[in-house]
Amino acid sequence: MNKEILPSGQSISIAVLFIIGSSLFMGVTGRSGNSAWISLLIAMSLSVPLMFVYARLHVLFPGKNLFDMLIAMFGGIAGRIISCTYIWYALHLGALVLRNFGEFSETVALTETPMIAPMLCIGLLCVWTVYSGIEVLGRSAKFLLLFTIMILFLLQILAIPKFEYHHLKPVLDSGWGPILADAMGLFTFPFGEIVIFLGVLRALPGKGSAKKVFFSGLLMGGGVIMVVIFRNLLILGPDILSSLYFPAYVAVSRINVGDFLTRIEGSSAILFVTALYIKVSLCLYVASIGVAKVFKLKSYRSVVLQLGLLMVYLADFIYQDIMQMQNFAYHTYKIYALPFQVFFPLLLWIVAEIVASKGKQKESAP
Amino acid sequence: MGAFVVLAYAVIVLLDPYGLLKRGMKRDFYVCSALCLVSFCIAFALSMHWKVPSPSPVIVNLVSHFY
Repeated sequence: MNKEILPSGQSISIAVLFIIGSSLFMGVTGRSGNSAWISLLIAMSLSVPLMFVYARLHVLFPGKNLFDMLIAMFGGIAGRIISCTYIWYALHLGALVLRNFGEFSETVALTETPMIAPMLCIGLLCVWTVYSGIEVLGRSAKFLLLFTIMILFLLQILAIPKFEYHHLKPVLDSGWGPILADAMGLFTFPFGEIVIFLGVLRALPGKGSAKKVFFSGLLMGGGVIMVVIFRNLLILGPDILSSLYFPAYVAVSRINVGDFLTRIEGSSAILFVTALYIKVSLCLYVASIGVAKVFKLKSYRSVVLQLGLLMVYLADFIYQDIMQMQNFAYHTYKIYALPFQVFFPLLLWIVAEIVASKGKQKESAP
Repeated sequence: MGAFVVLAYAVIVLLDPYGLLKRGMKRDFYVCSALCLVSFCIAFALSMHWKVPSPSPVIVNLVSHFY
């Protein structure tokens, strides 16, 4: 099989859409109220060292993905066990994002339709994309990112008359405690989730291109989330914002231009679907690559359909209701995701640096 | 609904695992068949409205145990 190559522009588009994925819709509501933007800035700053670690892994292991790195550094058995945890994380994350979409459909858009129907449609679309290869995903992401930014910009302009700037004050009303707690949540969801991208590092062209991808993803994704946070906050205010499951949808539904341009929240739903399509596809791709690596398969395509179906089923029975979903996303997830996003990559990086320095010492020895 | 799932999976088995076997990819066939069996069991259970245990409570318990 030919090696798949993902140009920088396409990989940056995937990274940006991956980061903004569910945050675009779920919002970042927490306890920080009108200071959520400060939490976002702190979370972005906290993510910078993590991005350096991820980018450094690409330099230390050129042409390898996360699973190759784990097996190379920790050996066949331990490497495969840790790989299995990452396969689970990718599958679980994909299922969580699909479930967000399912809950959105059942709560807001398609209230009479069983939740599994829209999730299965998106899931099968992702299976098709992943089966076609990462290059197809890259090209789709490049187009969809332009589309997303255009719609976001348009919605932002149309929303300006509805902005009530007093919602921003008083800054730091709730103190630093809730802001730091929310920053921790934002660090793991969505910025830390980019760890999944380590599974496609093999497809990146140059040795140092990962740094560009991770930092562009962080800055652009963070910028988009910041714009959405401000829009939601200025339209709805902190009290209403914290009581909604899908604040972006409600905020956009308030847009009314001369009683003519109204009810345009459907356009924001399209943005949600495009971003989650990229996010779920990447999770499915990485899970398939992982299974293929762990079981030494000839092609990852052999397991794409089954893993995609499992992801959709998992999304169906993972939560009992939307409150459980909200509770998991905002309270449990920030602890649950830490080993995958921070501990294992840090351990891998430290071991890889030690091995690399030992290798250099041996080379320089007479 | 259960019958529909069985029919759908008959088509999936013909297309996916059996296709791999015909192409001589034996290892891929075994892994795909195992995954297919698991996904069929879950799909059938969901179609019959049986309760499938969710991993979320386990994760929540685990997290609350450590934090």
